[in-house]
Formats: sequence, C-alpha cells, structure tokens
Amino acid sequence: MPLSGRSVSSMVFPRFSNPTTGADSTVVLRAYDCKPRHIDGVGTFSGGFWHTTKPYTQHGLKIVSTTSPAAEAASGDAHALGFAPEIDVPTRYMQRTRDYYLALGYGNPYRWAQFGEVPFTAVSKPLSEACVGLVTTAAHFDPAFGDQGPGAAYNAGAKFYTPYATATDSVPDLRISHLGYDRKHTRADDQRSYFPLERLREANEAGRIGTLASRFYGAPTNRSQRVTMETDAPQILEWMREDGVDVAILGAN
Amino acid sequence: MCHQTVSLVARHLEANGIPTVLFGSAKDIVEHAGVPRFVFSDFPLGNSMGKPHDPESQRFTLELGFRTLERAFGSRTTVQSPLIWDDDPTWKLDFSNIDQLSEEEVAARRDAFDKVKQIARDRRVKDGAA
Repeated sequence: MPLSGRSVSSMVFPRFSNPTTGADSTVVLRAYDCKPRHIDGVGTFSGGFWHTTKPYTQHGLKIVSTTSPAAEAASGDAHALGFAPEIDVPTRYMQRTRDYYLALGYGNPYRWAQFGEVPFTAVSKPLSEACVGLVTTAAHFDPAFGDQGPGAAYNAGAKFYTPYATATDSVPDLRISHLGYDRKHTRADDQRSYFPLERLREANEAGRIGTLASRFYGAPTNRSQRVTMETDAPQILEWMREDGVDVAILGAN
Repeated sequence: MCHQTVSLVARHLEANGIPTVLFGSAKDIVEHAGVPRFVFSDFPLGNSMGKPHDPESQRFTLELGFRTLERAFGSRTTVQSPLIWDDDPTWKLDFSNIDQLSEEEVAARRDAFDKVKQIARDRRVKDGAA
C-alpha cells in the first residue's frame, strides 16, 4: 500500500538520519524517485518526530528518508548505478521489536533462539512419491474467543497452548488474530496466503507430490523456547510419524 | 514468536529424519535460529504462502518450496522469492516501528499490551499449559 492518502491528522515523519534540531527547520526529504526536494515549513520538529499537517500527496512525494543536502550527491550516484532504495531491505524484526518494547517500558529484551549447528536430512524419494505434512501456527476459528476476523486487533484470547492435529479432508477455517502479523498491510482475509492446504491439494492432483498427509498440525507460538522444543515439536513429530509423513512444509505468520 | 516457533519445529523434525522447508517473511528471526531450508518472501508478516486472492502467487511460492526441497544440498539454504509486495517499499517502515509513533501512541500501546498479557495468562491457565 502506498503511503499517499493517509489522513492528515496521523501524519508523522519518521526520525531518520539526524535532522537539524530545532523547530521549523528546513526538512530535506528524498522522494522515492531519488530526486532531492527541499521543502520549507513542511512541519515542526518535536518529541523526536517531524510532524506535519500536510498529507504526503500534497508534495507528490513517497518519502524514503530524510537526509542532509550533502548526502544527496551520494544518493544520486546510487540511483544512477541502479541501486534499490535504501529502505528496501528485509526488515530487521528482532531489532524492531527490541526497540519497540524498550520504548514501551519493557526492559530485559527477549533472547531469540540462536544456534550454530543446523540439522540437515536429504530428501530420500521424489516428491511425486512423498507424503507431505503441513505445519501452521494459525488457529481454528472459535466464536467464543472474540474478534478473529480480518483487521482484528491482536487477540491473545484466541491463542492456543497445546499442539493440535486436524484432518485434511476438509478445509478448516483458520485465523491468525492471535499472532503478531502486520495489521496495517496484511489483509488476512484469504487463509491461502498463510495456509496452503488447497494449493497442496492441487499439487497432489497434478502429481507434483505423492500424497497429502491425512492431518495437518498446529504449532502453538509459545514465548518459551523450551516448551516448543521439548514438548510441542516432539508431539508434532510423533503425529507425523503416525501419519507417514516424508517431508514437512511449515508456514510462518 | 511465530517465525521462531516454526523454526524450532523445523529443526526438530529435520534432526529426527524428516526434511523440511519453512516459508516465512521474517528473515532475521529464521536465519538467527538456523533452519535447513527457507523460502523467504519479502512481504508483510502474514503472507508467507503468497499474496491474498492471488492463486498464481500462492502456487509460485509453494513450487519454490518444492524446488528448494529437491535441490538444497546443505542446511541454512535460503531462497528469496522474486515476488515483490509493492513497487513502493515504504510498507517496511511501519511494523512496530517506534520511530513512527508519537508519545501518545506509545502510551496507548503500553496500556493495550498490559491488558493483552493478562488475557494471554488467563488463556494459558485455561489450556492447562505451562
């Protein structure tokens, strides 16, 4: 979704590379087309943010950063060489969430799982002969647990804390309101964008995979790595063995 | 947590003889944990299997996973999908970005988060889980 059209009242320019301090300074904005534009009096600087009362569209800009005039020459070179926009890199979610929760007042940053060794098992048969198992973190819709629809706010009441296994012979109604997905840009109104059961059935019918396992498996998103590693993952492995799964597909959210 | 959860499950399955491929959009979290095979879509979180209402995008993404299963010859194999979410990459600035929020918004989110944590605690007790 482009930024243009956002409401006037919610406009906040992000604090990028060291804008000039003080109120009513000149804001130097670089447009998405990398042509420098200097805009006088676009807003005021307070509380670490540039605030403006004007929508982006008024300037015809898609802002990717604020920078100094001296930096514009370098950015012009980058553009000439065909570089992608600076912000067009994979989002660093660990750093984002760390900064976010620190700002919300929660210290003791979360230690994310990190391993030096990574297991590897070679695929031993053609996929056209393999039984494929599917793992999801989505949850079965249950009207008792509040708003789980597209656009619902984070719904901790819809979380589940024990793994589940559900037959794949019908298409379930799976929701992700209990997960920290992107509430602004993700529609969450087509479960096939996070749960590929129907796409796997197609692949099965086309002979691309041998069979689809008789059940798919729900993995609880537990903050405790120990519970995931020592309780939930072994349970899912056990079910997969019962179902004769040869290869596993896991969809994150 | 979600990307970490499936990463840990993939590792466990793989270590016990079941080859895996993980589809996700939080590259840093998955690669930090370390998984055998990873199809990375540089999309907003919640679309790891392709774009909504876009069957071709979903089929393409799944096929990328099949090929990764067939061809990866070692662990930590990441394949990045060539699909892009939007010509305009500014959506990447929005998710949990403290630089995008005013002090009032931060305060409101702090209150909301406290409430949500209590709800999660209640639900965990109800499920009889640790």
